[in-house]
Amino acid sequence: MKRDVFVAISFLMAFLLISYAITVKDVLGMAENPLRPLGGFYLRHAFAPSNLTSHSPEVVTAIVWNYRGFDTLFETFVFFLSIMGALSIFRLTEEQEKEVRSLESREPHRHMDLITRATTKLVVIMIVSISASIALHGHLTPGGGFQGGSAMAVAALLLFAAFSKFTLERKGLTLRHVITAYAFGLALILATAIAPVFLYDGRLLQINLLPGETGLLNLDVGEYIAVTFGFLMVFLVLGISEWIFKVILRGEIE
Amino acid sequence: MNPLKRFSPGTFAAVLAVYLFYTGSVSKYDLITGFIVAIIVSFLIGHWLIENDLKLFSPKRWFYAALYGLRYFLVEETKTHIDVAKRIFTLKANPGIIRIPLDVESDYGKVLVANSITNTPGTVVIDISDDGKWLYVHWIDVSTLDEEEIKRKVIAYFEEYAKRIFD
Repeated sequence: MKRDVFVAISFLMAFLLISYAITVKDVLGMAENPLRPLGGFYLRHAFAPSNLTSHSPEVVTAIVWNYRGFDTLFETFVFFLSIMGALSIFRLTEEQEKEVRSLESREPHRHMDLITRATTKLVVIMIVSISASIALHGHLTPGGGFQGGSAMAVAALLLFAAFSKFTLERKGLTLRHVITAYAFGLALILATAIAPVFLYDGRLLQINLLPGETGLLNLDVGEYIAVTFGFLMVFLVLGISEWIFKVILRGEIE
Repeated sequence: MNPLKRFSPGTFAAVLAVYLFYTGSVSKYDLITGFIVAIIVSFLIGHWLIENDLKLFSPKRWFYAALYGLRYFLVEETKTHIDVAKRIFTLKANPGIIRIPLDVESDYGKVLVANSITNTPGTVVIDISDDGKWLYVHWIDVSTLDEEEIKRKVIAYFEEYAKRIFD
C-alpha cells in the first residue's frame, strides 16, 4: 500500500517535471518551430486536389496507410505470421478436434449470473457498433482498422468472460469460420495493395490512384476484419482448457 | 431457420442508433455504412439481444421508462442520499445481508431492479440466484426481517415499473 502511493506520487512528479521542461523551459525547442517541414508536407498534401494527395482529411490514417503504407503492410504480415505461429503450435487434426469437443462436453461449465449476462449483451452490441464506426470512419475522423479491430477484440473477450467459448461456437464462430473471415480480411488488404499496379499502371500500394477514398476505406475495412478475427482466433485456440489439450497432444486418451 | 424470422428489427434499430450516435454525424456515407453494419449484425445474432421486438417499439413502455427515470433520479436518489448522509454523521448503521424475492419475469427487468438497488446508496446487490428468483442484498440498515416489509423498503416502486417496462 505504501509502495503504491510512493509509485503513484513519483509518476505524478515525473509527469509534472517533463511537462514543465517541455512547455515552460522549452527543452525540445518546439516553441519557435511548432511545425516541422515533414509535418507541414503531410498537412498540406493529405487532403489536397494535387497529385500527392491521399483523399483523406484524417492525416494520421493517410500517413499510416499511404505515405508510410509499407510499414503498416508489413506490420499486418507480422501479425499474420505470429497468429500462424500460434495456430501451428496449437494445431489439432479433425479427429483431435472431435475428441476435444467430446471432452469439453463432459467438463462442467457455467456462465456468469443473469445480471452480468444481460448487461454484457448490451455492452457487446454497443462495442460492435462503435468499433465498426471507428473502422469505417478511419479515413474521415481519428480511428482506423487496427483501432476498430482491437475494440472488437474486447467484445470477444467480454463474451468469453460472461458467457463461454461454447456460446460463441454455437453462434457459428468456430475456428474454421474465423480463419475464413481472417483470410477474407487479408485478401481485401492484398487486393487493394496490388490493385494500382494492374488497374492504373502505378506502383504497389499507390492507393491514391484509386478513385476517391476507396483505397483507404478498403484497407481500413480489411485491417478491421483481419485484426478482429485474428484476435478471436487466438482466443478460441487458447480457450481450450489446458489439460484437455495436453491429454490429446500426448495421445493419452483411451 | 427462416432468414426473415432471424432478422431482428429491434437489434437493427439499436445498432444503427449507437453507430450514428458515436459517429456524431448523419451524412449519406454514415447512413449507408451504418445501415450495412446494422443489417449484418442483426442477421448474425438474430434475437439474441432482443427477444420480442414489439416490446422495443411500444411507446407505452418508453413512456414508463422515462417516467421511471425521472422519478428514480429525482425522488428515490435524493431520499436515500439524505438518509445515508445522516447515517454518516450519526454513525447509526445496522448492516446485514437480506434475501428478496423477485416477481419480474424478464431478464432485463431483473437487471433494472438489481442495478436500481445498487445505484441507490445504502444498498448493494451481491448476488442473484441461478433461477433469477431471489436477490441477495447488502443493506445498511436491517430494520426488519419481514419479507413484505423488506421488499417495500428496499425495492420500493422499482419492480412495478420494471414489470411495466419489460414484461
